[in-house]
Amino acid sequence: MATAGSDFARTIRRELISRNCNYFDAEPAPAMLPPQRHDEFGFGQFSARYGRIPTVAQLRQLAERAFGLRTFEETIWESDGRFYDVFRPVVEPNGYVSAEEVGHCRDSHLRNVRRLFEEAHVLVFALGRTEAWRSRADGLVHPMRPGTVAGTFDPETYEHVVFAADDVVADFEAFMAIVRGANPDIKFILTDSPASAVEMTDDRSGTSATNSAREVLRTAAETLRARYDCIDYLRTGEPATSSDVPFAVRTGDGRLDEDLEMAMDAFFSEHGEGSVEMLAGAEDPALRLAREAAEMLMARQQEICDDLMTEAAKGEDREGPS
Amino acid sequence: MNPRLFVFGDSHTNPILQGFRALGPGISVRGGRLPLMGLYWPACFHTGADPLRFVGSDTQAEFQRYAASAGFDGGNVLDVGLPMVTSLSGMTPTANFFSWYEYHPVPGGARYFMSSQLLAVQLDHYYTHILDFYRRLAEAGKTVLFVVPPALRSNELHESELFHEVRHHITTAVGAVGVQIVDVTETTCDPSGMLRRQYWSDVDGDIFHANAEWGREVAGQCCRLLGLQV
Repeated sequence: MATAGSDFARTIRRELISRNCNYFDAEPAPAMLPPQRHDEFGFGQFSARYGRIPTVAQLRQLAERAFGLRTFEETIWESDGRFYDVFRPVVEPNGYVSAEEVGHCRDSHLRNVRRLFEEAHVLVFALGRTEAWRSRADGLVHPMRPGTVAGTFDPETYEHVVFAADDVVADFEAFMAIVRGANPDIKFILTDSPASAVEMTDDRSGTSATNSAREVLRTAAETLRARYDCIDYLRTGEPATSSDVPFAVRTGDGRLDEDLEMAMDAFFSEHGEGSVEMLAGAEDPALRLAREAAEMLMARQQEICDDLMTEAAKGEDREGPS
Repeated sequence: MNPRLFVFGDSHTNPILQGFRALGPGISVRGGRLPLMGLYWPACFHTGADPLRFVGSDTQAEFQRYAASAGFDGGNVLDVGLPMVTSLSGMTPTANFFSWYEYHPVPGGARYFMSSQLLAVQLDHYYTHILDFYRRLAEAGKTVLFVVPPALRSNELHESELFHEVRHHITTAVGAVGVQIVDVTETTCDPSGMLRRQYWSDVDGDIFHANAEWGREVAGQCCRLLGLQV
């Protein structure tokens, strides 16, 4: 079972794992990367390091790129001597050392995204936005307003677009055609954010998501569900009315927690806790051994560290394990 | 009395000791090789509390024995009153390990590609204890040299390239805590970064270690850094 989409997809991922579902992570964090650094490198958020995919147009674009169906002109930004992947500018903190490195990392990423689409049994996509910034030259849909992390915003180069329900449906159908061409049995679950209507755009022009945008996404999702047996739609509840702050910063909000819990209960009552057949990522045995060795090493380091810290706190002098 | 040095560390300590002895009787060395658990080498160190000791009981016992033979009892590394030449970099197993790790900094193949930044963050974490070990020695005013081991002789899985990546990263970090680096890579490697034939281990098939000739290059550089006349 795989996840992608808005921030809500991260919550779904957490829940799938905590409820013992066999989650498909096509780009797991390196075993030797300390857990507290996972998030800043885009690990442990979704089923691959694609970052947030707030629009269906971007999801379609990802599949087109993964299967080599579409290329774009401006795909790397340089800022202060560092290089950024236009498609996921926040997945590597402070960017990369060279454009070449961006390319290598992207190639590896797209290879794994393709594997994800080819092998997943179920993809949960959390709908996020109906609006985006798009390159006028070739239609590249950006995950955030250019210039936010890197690049330079230029209204002559980028345009703000708002997608109607028909656009969302068309983009998802195009995405589905690509993925099902390689993986005919894959199923999709669409969902939306339970509390805030949709995520706000992170642009600085003041354009924000609205409840009508949520209705657009719901209309699109209902249309897709009615049209295709392989699509289900989990409607997660009514929007919050008291706040329009972005979803991600509302995690301390009691109402949101309650909403999330309800949404998750609804999700699993609909689809069965742990009953969805899921697929573990295929893995080279040698790589699995390497991962196990690294995990043992990390555990041992931590164990020794904890042991001695405890002993030091007691004021005792004791040798650790050999 | 001859200048005395205390030399200790991993398996590269052997050719280093041979190298010092080859310099003649002008330099007197004490010390020896410690059992450092190969890949699990970083787990040998923990320096969060006094005294400064090795975590592994075998490692500590050996260290204690060498230190006692040099006249320093108690097993506290901070009590050693001689300039210390250390081969504790762990670069050999680290570079070798990263060559078959699931994430790789050289593109291609089935592995995930790892940016240089992602590798650096993992190395920083992996080297936490050893960097702290050197920091403690430097802060105590000890004269400590950090010897870079011989470059690997194989690049089948990019291990030689990885070695040089690790070397650059770690020597920068160790140098930043105030420890002097002994690095004979330039003089002992060919332009591709491989150890030159004349420095290869005398043991057939041993691609990890070097010979006494390499050790002599190391010993010579140590003496120059310490201002010792040989």
